[in-house]
Amino acid sequence: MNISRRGFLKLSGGTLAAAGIGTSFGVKSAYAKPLKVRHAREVPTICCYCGVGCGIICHVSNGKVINTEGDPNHPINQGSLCSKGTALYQIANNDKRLNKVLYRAPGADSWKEVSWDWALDKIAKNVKKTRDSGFVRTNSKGQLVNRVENIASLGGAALDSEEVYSLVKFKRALGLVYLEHQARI
Amino acid sequence: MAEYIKYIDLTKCTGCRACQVACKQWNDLPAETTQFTGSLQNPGDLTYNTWTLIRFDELGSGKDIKWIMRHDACMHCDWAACIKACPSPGALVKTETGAVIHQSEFCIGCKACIIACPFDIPRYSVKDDKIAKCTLCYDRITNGMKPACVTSCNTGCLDFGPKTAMIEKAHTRALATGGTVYPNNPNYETHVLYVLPADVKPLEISHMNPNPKMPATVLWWKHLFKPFTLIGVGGVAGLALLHYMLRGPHLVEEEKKEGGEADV
Amino acid sequence: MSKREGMVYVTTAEERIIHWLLAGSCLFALITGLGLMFHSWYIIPTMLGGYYATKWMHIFSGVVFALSLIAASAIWWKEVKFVPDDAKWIMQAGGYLWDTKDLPPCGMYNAGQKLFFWFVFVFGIIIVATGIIMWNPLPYPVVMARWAYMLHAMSVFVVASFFIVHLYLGTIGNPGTVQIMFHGWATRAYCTMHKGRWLAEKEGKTEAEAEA
Repeated sequence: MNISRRGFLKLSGGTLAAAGIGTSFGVKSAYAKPLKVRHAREVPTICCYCGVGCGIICHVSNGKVINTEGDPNHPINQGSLCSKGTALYQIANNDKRLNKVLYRAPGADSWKEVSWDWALDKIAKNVKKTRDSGFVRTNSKGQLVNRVENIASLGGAALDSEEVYSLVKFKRALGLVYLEHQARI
Repeated sequence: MAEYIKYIDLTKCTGCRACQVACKQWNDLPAETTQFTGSLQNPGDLTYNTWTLIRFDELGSGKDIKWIMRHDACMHCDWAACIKACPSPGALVKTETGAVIHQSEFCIGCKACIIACPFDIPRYSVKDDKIAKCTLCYDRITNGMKPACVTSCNTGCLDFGPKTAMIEKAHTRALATGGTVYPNNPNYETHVLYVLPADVKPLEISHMNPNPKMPATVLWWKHLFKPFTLIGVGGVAGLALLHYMLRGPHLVEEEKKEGGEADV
Repeated sequence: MSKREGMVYVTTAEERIIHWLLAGSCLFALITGLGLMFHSWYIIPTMLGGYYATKWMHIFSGVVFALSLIAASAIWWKEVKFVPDDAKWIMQAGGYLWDTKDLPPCGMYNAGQKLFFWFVFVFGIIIVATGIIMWNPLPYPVVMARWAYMLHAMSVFVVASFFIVHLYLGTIGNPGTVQIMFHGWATRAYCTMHKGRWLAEKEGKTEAEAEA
């Protein structure tokens, strides 16, 4: 997108004078509000939400995302976005997002803050415990299967190909057979 | 700069509300706590921080049900009642693009525009003591971009372009679908055009003024009594001066005798 | 209140204070209102510190106007009732426009002043009522609010025009009048001419009191 800067000229001073008598209805000068993305760098990206893969332009200024909008040159969406993709900006800028791990123990009625290390260990332990309790070595015919039937995996649309590849490797190593992805739902 | 029009084809709106989110995002409008009303429409009405809203209507009953999703925002009237009513110069301005924009630094929070608006668009904030409404993304359209809502629309319901092209597009589309163009009033031109589906009338759609025009009371106020005040005050002052010159002050009898010269 | 030679004490201090509150708030509301109504008169809001300040000054002077209007009607209620002689006075326009002979003696106020009071009272109430609506028009039906804006302007047109008439007749048009609203005293001759019936009643009463 080539953003012209001609429109930024501030038509100051003239506003009051041009306002004239109250009954006149001519075109009145307005302060041109500077385009907020005028100094921003444009970084193309792909929407992280669903399997459609819409192109999005992030306007970045001083290392911060200041605006996101559909990429008009992207063949998938040609500039348009759904309401969720339009709100992509809030992934980077949202004071209501969680930035600490919250844990609610079974039966508890409130959340408590925990560390990442503790949370990851807890998840690993639970996975191990569940896997061990549901591991099937042989099926009813006595054939060796080595599979886990009490864990399923659901991949999100936000995962890219490489992430999905390594996740599938990891889950197959655990013995999971129920693998699913958001794009197939 | 050319005049622009925002085109809204209601036959194509799916009510995804991307325009609503895009408007909030571009204009840095904060989120609001809303309540579930049983309708797809959320928030329930335009607010100070929601400048465009998908209004949702369920018409008909039984098997004959119709859904109308309507992108509602400022119509950017050519002869805007809000500007006519506004006491503070520069608070509401008709720009050369056709967009009617509000400039918050000049707004004094008098709420006259809210009452004057035939489409019930401007919204007031008690906290800021100011009004806000859609600006047709004046900052974007003067820099060669489309308004945020139009950019985000993914069904082709919204479009934006030069005035003549959009009027032609609206009428072509209305002809093709058997629908109508709103507001199709040569005396009250707006910079937003709707194409309504064939079997839907403006009257049936919630919050749609079937006959948009400058409110008569605003005209009487601004075109009749406003000049009348000057004519009245100035005229009476002139007549008083004339009376003073022709008949002189109404002197008290006693003083007349003493003065001797006033009454000849 | 000390006695003054050859002078009659016409108005009480309360009357004068309320009169000037009413007049001052009305004039200030008129000036700020004109500043808000005519964009070309932006000099008025500029001098008063901007449009936002002017809006609040207009509202507050309106509140003062409303309160002093109530007080004014309370103190002048009895004196502005019309009497049969007032019709005669009005038919002759009070002798202001052409020479007349048999002008009936007036009470405290002549018919013109009474008319002015009633115009200010009726249209003042409209101004105050519509002003309250305009202060926050959002809870009212939109048609009602639109009418309020129009009626406000219409009533201002009426009151402002009469205000000028009152200003002229109260000052240079009738020498000796304006001091009644400043220190309250008028000459005996002035009272005989302008307030004959009132003076007679007052003196009669004083004599009656003196006799008793």
